[in-house]
Amino acid sequence: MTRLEFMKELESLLLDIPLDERNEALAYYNGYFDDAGEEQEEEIVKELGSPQKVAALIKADLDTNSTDRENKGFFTEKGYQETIGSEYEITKSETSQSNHNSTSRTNSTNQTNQNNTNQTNQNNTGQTNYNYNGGANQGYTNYSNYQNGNSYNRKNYNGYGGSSNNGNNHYSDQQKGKTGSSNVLFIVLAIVTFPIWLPIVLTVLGIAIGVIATVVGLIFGFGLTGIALIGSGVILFVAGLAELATPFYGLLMIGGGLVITGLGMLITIAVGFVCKKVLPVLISGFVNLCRLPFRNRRAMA
Amino acid sequence: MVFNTGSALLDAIVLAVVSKEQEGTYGYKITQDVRQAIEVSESTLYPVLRRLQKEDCLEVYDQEFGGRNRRYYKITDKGMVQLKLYMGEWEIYYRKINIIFEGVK
Repeated sequence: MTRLEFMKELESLLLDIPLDERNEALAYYNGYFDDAGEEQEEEIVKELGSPQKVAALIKADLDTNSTDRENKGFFTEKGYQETIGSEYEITKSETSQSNHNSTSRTNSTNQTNQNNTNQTNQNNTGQTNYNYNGGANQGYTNYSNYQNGNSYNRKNYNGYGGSSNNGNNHYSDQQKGKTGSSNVLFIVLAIVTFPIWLPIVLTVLGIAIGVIATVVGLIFGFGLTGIALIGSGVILFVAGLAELATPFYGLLMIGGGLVITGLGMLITIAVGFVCKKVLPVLISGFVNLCRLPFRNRRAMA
Repeated sequence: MVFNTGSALLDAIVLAVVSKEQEGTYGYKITQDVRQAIEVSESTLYPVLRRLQKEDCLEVYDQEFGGRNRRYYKITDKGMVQLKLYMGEWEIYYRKINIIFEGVK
C-alpha cells in the first residue's frame, strides 16, 4: 500500500467523525509522512499498520473525550483528578481479541474509581487527605485522594480552573498537494553541488579506510608478536632442559624462556582484551559518528 | 519491551519530550524521541497529542517549512503543571518499586 492509498483509505474511514477532527488527523499524518521523507514512506505505511487500526485509535480517543469530558477534569475546584485511562496500544504486535476485552474491563474499573474519588473529594475539600483506600483493583490509578492536599493544587488550580481556550485552534488546511517538493529540491541541490561533496565524501572514506586498516594492522601485529614470543619462549625452555648438562647455560635458557613466554602471554591477553572490550566501543562510536549527519538531517527535514 | 506503558505515563513522556523544545516540536520528531524510551507504534501518538491539545496542556501553531505548513506543539503552563505532577508521582512510584526490588538475589 502506498502513502496515497493509505491516506485515501484513512479519509474514507474517518468520514463519520466531525470535519475538523478529520482534517486535523489527516493533516497530522500527511505532515508525518512529509517529515519522514519519501524514502521512508513504505516503512511507515507498514509501521502504521492498516488504516482501519489508525482510524479506530483516533475514534476511540474521540469517544472517551465526548462522553467523559465533564467528569474528566484535570485541575478542577476539587484539585487534581485522575483521567480515565483508555489503554493505548503500545506494542507493535498486539492484535488479539483478548486485549480488547481486558482494556474495556480496565476502563470500567477506572470509571468506578472515578466515582469513588469524586465522592470523597466532595466530602473533604482542601484537607490533606492521605487516603490510600486499599482496594485491590484501585491501587495506583486512584491517587487523586492523596493529591488532594498537594501544593500543586493550592497554587495553581485557580489559574486553570476554567477551560481557557485561547483560540489556539486556528488551523488552515493548506498542507495537501505540496508533498515532495522539498525532496525534489534536495536532489537537484545534490546534483549541482556534486563537485564539492564528492571529494569530501571520498576523503572521509579514505580516512575511514586508513583508520580501520591501522587498527587491524596493529591488532594483527601485536597478536602475532605475542604468539611468536610464547612459541620461542617454549622452545628456549625445552632447549634449556636439554642443555641442563651444563647447569649454567641450561638454567639461563630456561629462565629466559619462561620470561619470554610470560611476556608473550601478557601481550596476547592485552590484545584479546582490546578485541573484546575496547574494539566494540570504538566501532559503535564510529558508527554513531557516521550516523550523526543523517540523524541531524532527518531531524531538521 | 516487557512492561506496559499506561496512558498517564505515556502522557507524561509526551509532555516531557515536548517541554524540552523551547520553540516547540512536531509530530514526527516527537514520535522519534518517545521511541528512544519506549516501544510505541507510530499510530499511538496522534490521539495523545490531540487530547493533550484539547486539554490545553499543549498548544499548537503552524509554521512554514520547506514549502509547506508544519504543525508545532508547545507545552503550556497548564501542561507544565501537569507534567510536574506526573513526575512527582513517578518518583514515588519507582522508589517504592525499587525498595521492593532491592536485595533480591
